Parts: sequence; structure tokens; C-alpha cells
Amino acid sequence: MLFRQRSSLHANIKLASQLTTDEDIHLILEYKAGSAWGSLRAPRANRFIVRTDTFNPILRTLEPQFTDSFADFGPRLFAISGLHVMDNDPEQRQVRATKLQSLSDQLQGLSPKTLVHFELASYVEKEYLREVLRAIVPYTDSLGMNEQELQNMEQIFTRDEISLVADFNPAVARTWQQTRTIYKHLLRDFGGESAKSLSRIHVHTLGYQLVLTVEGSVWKDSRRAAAKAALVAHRYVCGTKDFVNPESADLLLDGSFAVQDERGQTIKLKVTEKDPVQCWAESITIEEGTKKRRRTVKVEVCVAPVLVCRVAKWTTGAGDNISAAALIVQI
Amino acid sequence: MGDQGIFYITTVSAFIALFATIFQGYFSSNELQHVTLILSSLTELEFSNVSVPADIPRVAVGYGACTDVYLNAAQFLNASHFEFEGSLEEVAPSDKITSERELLQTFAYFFSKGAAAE
Repeated sequence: MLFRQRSSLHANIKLASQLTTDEDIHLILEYKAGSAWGSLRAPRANRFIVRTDTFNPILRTLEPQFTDSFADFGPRLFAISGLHVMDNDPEQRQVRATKLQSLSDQLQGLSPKTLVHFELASYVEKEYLREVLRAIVPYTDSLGMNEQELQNMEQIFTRDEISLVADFNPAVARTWQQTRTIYKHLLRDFGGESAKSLSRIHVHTLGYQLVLTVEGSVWKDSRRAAAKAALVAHRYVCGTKDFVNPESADLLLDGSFAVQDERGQTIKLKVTEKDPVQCWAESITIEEGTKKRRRTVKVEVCVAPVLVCRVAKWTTGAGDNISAAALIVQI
Repeated sequence: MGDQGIFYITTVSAFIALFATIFQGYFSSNELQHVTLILSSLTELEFSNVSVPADIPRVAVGYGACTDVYLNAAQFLNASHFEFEGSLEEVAPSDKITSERELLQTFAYFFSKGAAAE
């Protein structure tokens, strides 16, 4: 981070790494739903980011002073993101493996009181995403992702391929089925290795928020977390801070929807004006770790409809803000 | 007779148009009321059972920082000399962008699908 950028951070934010004299610049091409370029038209608002970083891939915060500062700072939550900057850079393969190993060591050295959340991003190299998951998931409590990242991970587990695009408004049934699939695979492949166990997954989509938490885990109030995430999704994208104008909102998830549990039983749910956030409980069979220890995990899943912003002002950073909004009420 | 026929048709058309306008207004005010009620339930949930703990939890965030430079993609591309060539079916996104053509083709691929890409 540059010296001049320090002043734009809130005074309460402590910076662990050194300030720099040069910076990484990301060029962000944002577009609104219906934007046209020649004969092409965008079906929804989104962004395309071009970057050529020099500082970020080095993950300077892996330097010991960062986690050393945790002893005094005593964080309740450690949120990790930005690992995709080392993606798609085959020349860095060896350096990358070393970096991931130190990151993994850093996580293993954390106090058990510190919860760990990992926010995914666009990964294009499937081997790298696997390496990232292997380094992080065994020591992580919570994951956050959008529908593209969810599908991407599901495809890696079920078909060993990466998907670059996904339906931007998938049915809740499909998202839930994919979430359950990755949850089972993550615990099977990376579970049982440490005292930590993945107990929360937040999937943010354009039309709704889905929050999975394990029953009896430390995460509080998923219903409220889903509601807050849905509201922040609108406020951030519309750029209205604390306010939602119902006239500039559309509902993509409305009325009834249904999901299926692991045994194929249909659960019917309904978004109503009085109870827009719908939650259900489910038991999932897990075969954990290399020992294939079989256990049943009871989870609660909450889905909140997003009041989708009609004219998007910001799309970059939306996922991070939405994820943070849900996390802050759950810790 | 012909004139009268036209008169009736005109009158009926005018009523249909009026009815359609009223119905649309009724429909959109219902929709607005529906969205407003959902909004108020969500907001109520957001602030329900809020108790600020004495020891406010601290959060550590890693890794990296950057400067974001924003461009309105459609405005920029339409004002530039960059044009999309070829057909969408043939466009293949590049993992690594090394030329102007790769940049435009990759952008076209994700833009046309509304997919986030980095």
C-alpha cells in the first residue's frame, strides 16, 4: 500500500505491512445490464479486471510480523482473500507452492479462538485452485463465494474441469445442490486434518443469499446474516450507503421455491412479505478425511432474496462487502 | 355507417388504452408495495436482537492491496477505435492477455455472458 493511500483507511484500521512507494494497479472495465458494444449486449451488470501485479503475488503479508501482531491484536476473525493474484502464472509455480506452504503454516499457528474465513475469487487454473484449497481448507471455518466460483469448484470436484462462466441467476435448488456437493467433497478431501472443521459456507448470487452453518457451531444467527447480506448487496451496488429505494429494486427470487435434500426429498419454501428469509435444516452424510470416517452433520441453511439494484453503480468489491456484512453479524 | 364504425372502433380503442394504463399503474403500485414490504421485513431482521458486545470483535484481513482504476466499458469501447471482430461462437477467452486482440476477444466473451472475470 502506498503512503498516500494510508489516509483513506479508517483511523481504527491498523496496518501490518510496510508502506510502499509503488503500487499495483487494476484496470476495471465495468458495465451495466443491457450495455452494448457493437453487436454485443451484456445480460447483467458486471466487471472485467485486467491486472499485472508485481507486489500482490509476493504476498508480503506472509512475513512473520503480520501473524506476530495477532498475539496483541487478538482477532476474532481472520479473513483471507486475494490469493488468486498468484493464479495463472506458471512461471511462478515453485515460488507459489512455497508461499502457499507458509500461508498454511501461518493458519496452523493461529490461536484456536481465531475463526478463519476464506473468500474465493475467479481462478482459471484448476491445479492452482486445488493447491489453494489443500493449503487453506483444513484450517478454515468458513468459505464465501459467488455462483460462478461455486460452479467452478463443483466442476473441479465432479468433472475435474474448470468453468469460466455460469448461469447468473441459478435456481436455489441448483445452488443448494452444488453447495452440498462441494461441502461433502471439501470435508472428504481436506477434513479431519486439524482441530478446525469447515462449518459455514456463504454463496452470494445476484438474486439471493444462501448461508449454510453447521448446527451447534460458533456462527450466530444465519437468518439475520442472510438478510443483512441481501440488503448490503443492494446498498453497495446502487451506491446508496444506508438506504434502499424500493423503486430501484427488482426481485429475482419471489414466491415459492423448492430444494431437495440428500435423499431426494423435496422441501418447499416460500418468500413472503412477512418472512422473506427462509431457513431449513438438513442432515448431510460426510466421509471425512483419509480415514473415511463417516458422520452425519446437521446443517441449517438460510436463503434471503436480494432487492436487486436496477442501475448498478458499483460491481467491483460487491462480493467482499456482501460477505463481510454476513460475517460481522455471525461472529 | 362507415364513419360510425370508425367512431366505435376509435372509442373502444381509447377505452382499451385507458384500461391498460390504469391496469399497469395498478400492477406496478402492487409490485412496489410488495417490494416495500419485503424490504421492511429484511430491515427489521437486520436490526433484530442487536446487542453490541462489550468487547467488539476485531478482524484481521489479508492479503494484498491495489489501486482500482474504473472505466465504463461500453462508453470507452464505443468511443475508441476498438471493434469486436468475428463471431461470438468462435471467441475463446485467453488466460493470459498478451495482445490487443486477445484483450478484446476475452472481454467480448465475458461481457456477452455478463460474467465476472479477472
